[in-house]
Amino acid sequence: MNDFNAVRDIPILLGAFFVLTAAIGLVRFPDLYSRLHASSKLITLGSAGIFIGVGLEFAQTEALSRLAAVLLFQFLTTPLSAYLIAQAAYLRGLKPLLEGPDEWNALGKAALLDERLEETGGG
Amino acid sequence: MRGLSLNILLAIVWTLFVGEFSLRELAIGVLLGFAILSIFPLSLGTGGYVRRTLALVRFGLFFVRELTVANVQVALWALLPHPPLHPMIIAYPLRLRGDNAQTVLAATITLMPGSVAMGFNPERTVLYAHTIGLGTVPEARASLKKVEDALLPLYGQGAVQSGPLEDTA
Amino acid sequence: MIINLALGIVTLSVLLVTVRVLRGPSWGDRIMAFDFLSVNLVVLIALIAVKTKLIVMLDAALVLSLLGFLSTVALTRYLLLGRVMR
Repeated sequence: MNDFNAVRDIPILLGAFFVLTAAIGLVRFPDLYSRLHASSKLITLGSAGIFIGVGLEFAQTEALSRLAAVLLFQFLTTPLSAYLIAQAAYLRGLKPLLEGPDEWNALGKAALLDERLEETGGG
Repeated sequence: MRGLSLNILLAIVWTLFVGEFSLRELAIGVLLGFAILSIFPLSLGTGGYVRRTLALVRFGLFFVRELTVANVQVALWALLPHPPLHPMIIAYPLRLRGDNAQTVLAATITLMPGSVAMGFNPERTVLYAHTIGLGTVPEARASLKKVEDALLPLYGQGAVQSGPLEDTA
Repeated sequence: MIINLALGIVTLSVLLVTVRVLRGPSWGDRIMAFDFLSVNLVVLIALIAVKTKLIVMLDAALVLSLLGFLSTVALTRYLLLGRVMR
């Protein structure tokens, strides 16, 4: 620990910790939908911490602009990919493990979405 | 639009005034310009801009705080031997209107404690979310309502649907 | 020093997620794990950029994060609709 730099290293270590817990949650949680909680939330803050630490290490405009782009992009895309995966799996009929109600009640009804996409030309 | 251009103009004037064009001076100029705009909203006609910017800042702080809470919570559950997950899928009647606002809401809810957005109904009036660790259905709805309340000032009155959906939430 | 430790931790998480890719059990799990792997690789590349002091690596991280999201969208569309494009 001879070159310990608190400002740079604490975000990196926290980020790495969150990425590791995300992987542990991904392996341990019981079904896909619970695993999405672990992957979407933890990876966002984990990668943000690591990118901030890396940016503080470089502290140059070239590096900071690229890291800001990656960071912004992660914040925009991680929730969207979680949404897409959950929707696709649910509408294709992957049963969630529930202890409460299922108020959507459209399990396996991908055909509904198919028609809507045909109409709007989104296919 | 007028507020934003005035703010940028004031920032550039500040950098010229200091005589040094750098990112730091530009940031200071933006802050000082914003202070001027918020002190004289009537004569400059920037009340709306100031309100919207403050709402954006407040939402950013709310977002960071809730994201931290969510991460610590899920990290704890990943490490506990028997996490109290209690998963369920709830329907949440939306008050926000418009594709843009609803997309931001769905993305934000995915990063908030205990909920992942799963889909909309075809009319785009109800958001379905998978929740873990939020107890009963009314509690989960209240948790989503908190996020929507934080987003409402950003999209103004035009995006709000007032009516019977109010009391079911 | 710290960078090596962080690299080790992220590599460990890559290995754990590989278990999830192999075990499945559903296609949704595999897509999610691949999405997670792509973000993990972006993080790894950013850390390697610090270790080797090469800023060019960050360009690779940017491109990889774009490609990761694109592939996730394509895979979920294939899962949901049975095709990626018309």
